[in-house]
Amino acid sequence: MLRCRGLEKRFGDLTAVAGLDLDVEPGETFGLLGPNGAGKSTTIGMALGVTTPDAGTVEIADRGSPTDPSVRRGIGFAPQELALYEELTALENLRFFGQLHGLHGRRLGERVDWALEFAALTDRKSDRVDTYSGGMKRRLNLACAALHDPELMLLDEPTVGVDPQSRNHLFETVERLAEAGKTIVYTTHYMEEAERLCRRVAIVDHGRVLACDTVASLIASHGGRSVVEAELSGPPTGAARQLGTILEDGSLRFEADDASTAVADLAAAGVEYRALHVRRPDLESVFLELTGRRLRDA
Amino acid sequence: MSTIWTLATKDLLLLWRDKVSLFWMFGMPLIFAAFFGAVFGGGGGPSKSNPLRVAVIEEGLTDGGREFAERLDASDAIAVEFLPRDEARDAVRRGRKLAFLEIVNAPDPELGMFSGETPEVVIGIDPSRQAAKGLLQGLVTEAVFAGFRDLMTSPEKTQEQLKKAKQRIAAADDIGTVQKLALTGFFTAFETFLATPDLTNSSGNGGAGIMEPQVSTVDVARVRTGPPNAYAISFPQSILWGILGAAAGFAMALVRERTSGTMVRLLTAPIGKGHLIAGKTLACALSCCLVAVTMTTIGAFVFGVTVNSIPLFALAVAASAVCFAGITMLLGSLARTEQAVSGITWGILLVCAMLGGGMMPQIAMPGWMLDVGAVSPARWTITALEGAIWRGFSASEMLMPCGILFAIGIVALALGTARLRRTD
Repeated sequence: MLRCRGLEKRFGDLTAVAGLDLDVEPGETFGLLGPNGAGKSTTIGMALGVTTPDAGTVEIADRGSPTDPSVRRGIGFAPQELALYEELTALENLRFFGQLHGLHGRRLGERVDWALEFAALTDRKSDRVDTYSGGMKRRLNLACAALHDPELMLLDEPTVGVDPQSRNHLFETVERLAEAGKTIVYTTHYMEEAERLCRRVAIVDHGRVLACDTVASLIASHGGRSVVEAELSGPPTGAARQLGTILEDGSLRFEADDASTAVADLAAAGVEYRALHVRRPDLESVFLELTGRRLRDA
Repeated sequence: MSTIWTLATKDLLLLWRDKVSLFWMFGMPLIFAAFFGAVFGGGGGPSKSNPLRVAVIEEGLTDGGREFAERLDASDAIAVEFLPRDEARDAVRRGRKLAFLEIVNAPDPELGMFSGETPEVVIGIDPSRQAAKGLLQGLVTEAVFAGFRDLMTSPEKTQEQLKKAKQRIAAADDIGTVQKLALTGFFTAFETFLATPDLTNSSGNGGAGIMEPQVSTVDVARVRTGPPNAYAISFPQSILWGILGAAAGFAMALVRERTSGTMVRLLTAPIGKGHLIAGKTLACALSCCLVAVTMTTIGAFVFGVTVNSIPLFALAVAASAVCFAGITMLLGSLARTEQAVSGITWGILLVCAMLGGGMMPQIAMPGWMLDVGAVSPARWTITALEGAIWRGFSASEMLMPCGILFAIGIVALALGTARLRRTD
């Protein structure tokens, strides 16, 4: 659905994207993760046809470059900044963006009604957007992107600054879109969102894709070992001492590829547990492993 | 075209919801037009409702002086109040009265023109008020010579004055016998002349027919060389201010769109950048037209402004709208923040307005300023609007200002479009 080959973009001396390759399959929800300044937004801009690459190509659904307006007809975009006219009502915003995407007459009315329902804003459709809460604006922002029923949706941090209820609603709406067969490219800083929503994830840094695979595969290959912290009933035995480190409070800490087996083996060796805490590797571990722990302020 | 119209109607709707921009486009210019029209207008001179207010000094005022003052007061142009000298001076100093009049000498009302006394009036007025001083001198002189009008139009009154004059001459000790005879002879002959039957009846037989002026009027269309009233000057200026308000509002709306994220969403829609720029330009141009039509309509119905030529007015409005829509696109492309565009826009537009007659009417501008103002689109906007409203321009005379406006608009639009295409 979205194919990027050798994308490069420089802004003066700064290289924002340096030979990026990406393939997003039809119908999948694809996560694009990276620290600030990694090149995600520039990549999205080139995928939308808004930013012109210095080198490389972008192709949408085998139809061509997104710089062609007819190709863009199949793309929906929800930018990180709310792209809404706050002085207009939700209805007016939706009608305007629908018309720009070629919707007219009854079809426009049907899609606007669908979008209002999708954003749970039917009751507030005639209120100006500047009277909405942050969560309502985010929902409308997403609804505007989905309004014209695009096959590819690019969602740039769609849950920034919303409360847990609105975030959960947004997750559900993204899942509904995925169930409807949309191809979704989802950029976020929240790893749990990517884990929940995305089948595959690309981790980008310094304008390149560092890793791209399913979440499970990324964790398996880059997440490292599980960490087990155990409070023991008695003093650590020899087996326990050999396996890990005894902490100041007397608890045992060790790492294992398979935490369950390691804990079971210790129990079989006579170790009694009072409490167990197992921290398995997750996408955040993968992210930090690949991009480092240094602060990024760019 | 429907895409451009969709974009333009969205911008017009946003404008309608923006009360601050609306005030700068319609409210402030209307206040400007009404205020300056009233200040510089007021009917063009003294009238019954707005007479010149003068004080007449009471001290030393003779019966003749009082009659003279009352004759002045009878005029619609002057309102007289009799005041003591100090109060009269103080009233002038404090601006409550335009001037004071001290009637030093005036003919005895019983003798009229035949009293032998020379009328003498002292006018006390601020020396800086030269125009009012001249007008007042004219009105006083007119009142002095009103005695001659009585001579010609009221024979009975004149005969009475002659009779009393002859009695005084006969009783006078300081006039020689020869002079008495000469004067008495002249006055007697004049009495005889005035006693001629049907003297004042121009239709009578044998009458002189000269004592009462017979005045009739014929309609002669006067070629207008100036504005019919002050509002005809202040309204074109106010239209310019409204257009400037629209231009500034749209320039800031353009940069707001670029910074708020909606521009990215517009750019990802299946439309070209040309559509976006055309939509914004159309909305701005329509707003400028709306300002011009609204202001002129109010001017016509409320302030008596008449448009000399509707088609030429439409041409002037269209040219101004194209000009400032193009300038708006250029201004909106010059910076990336709302504050910067606001500063640049108002800075440039205010200078244009100053040079072009937005603050001082062109009719009152010195020659050098008119020459310098030729670089300002505001100058040509006002020239075109005034040409259509009251200057009576022909179509060929309108070509120059309108052509310049169209040219400025097209060049500015091309530059702005190039910058927007490059920066977005």
